[in-house]
Amino acid sequence: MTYLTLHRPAGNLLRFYNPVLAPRGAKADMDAYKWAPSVDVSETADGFEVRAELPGVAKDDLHVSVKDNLLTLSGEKRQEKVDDAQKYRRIERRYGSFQRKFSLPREVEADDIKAEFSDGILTLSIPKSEAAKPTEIPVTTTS
Amino acid sequence: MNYLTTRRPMRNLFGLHNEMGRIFGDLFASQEGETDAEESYWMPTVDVSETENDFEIRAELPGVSESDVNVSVTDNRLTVKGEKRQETETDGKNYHRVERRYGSFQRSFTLPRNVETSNIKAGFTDGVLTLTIPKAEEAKPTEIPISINS
Repeated sequence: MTYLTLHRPAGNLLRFYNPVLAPRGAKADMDAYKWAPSVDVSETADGFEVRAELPGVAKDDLHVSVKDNLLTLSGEKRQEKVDDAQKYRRIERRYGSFQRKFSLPREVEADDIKAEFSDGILTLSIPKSEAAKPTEIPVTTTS
Repeated sequence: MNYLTTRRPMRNLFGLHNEMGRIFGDLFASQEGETDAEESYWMPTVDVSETENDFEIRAELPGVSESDVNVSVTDNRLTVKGEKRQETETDGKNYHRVERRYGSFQRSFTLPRNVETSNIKAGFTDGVLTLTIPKAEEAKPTEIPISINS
């Protein structure tokens, strides 16, 4: 079987380690970014789904691309500015650019990936190709 | 001067808070003790800012539906609580990776005295809850006449 594999240079920040999704990518990648969105990755019979938490990110600041089997989610989260006289008393939220990469399994339709953004969640739907879906093999008997 | 003060019972888990506290000096004195948030599995991250006319709290609540968020003010304590649910259509779904946190959450803030608690406004866009807390007209000192009984 094939799985979506994550490039996770932020490996030690992540709470869950699932050996099925072996980490990939260089640690150096990570150092360029101050934060990375949390993601859930799930699979159904028809495809894979990646859901990333991107609260307060503008749709136009989000970029999703596929190249050489590598799905890249990148963008920038900007601090809202209401007023020049605004003084911050507490800043817990993280801002700046981010990037996460996922190695796609071979049996997906990379051209049919759909991205939807609502309530601060980006949902990527990655359909499996027909070849990847289980096919029934008829059993016959010889006389 | 008065400031919005955060209750942070889970302080030890949030090194960042302490760091920010140092940066801002003592403006945000923490309130130890009393813990309604300790049962919470996660807490939203918040920014607190101030302009001439109001205070603003922005909390990150991605994927939380509006009807699952509750904002209330009791005495001078503002509480944001609610629940973040995992998407319901999980039939036939296998999770390979779960980094997001789910479950109930709660955060409380001690409001300064000079705000109009009855005029707090709440907006919710792109997973960010924005609370706007207007400042009240500064209470002016009043003159108290002294009468002398002779």
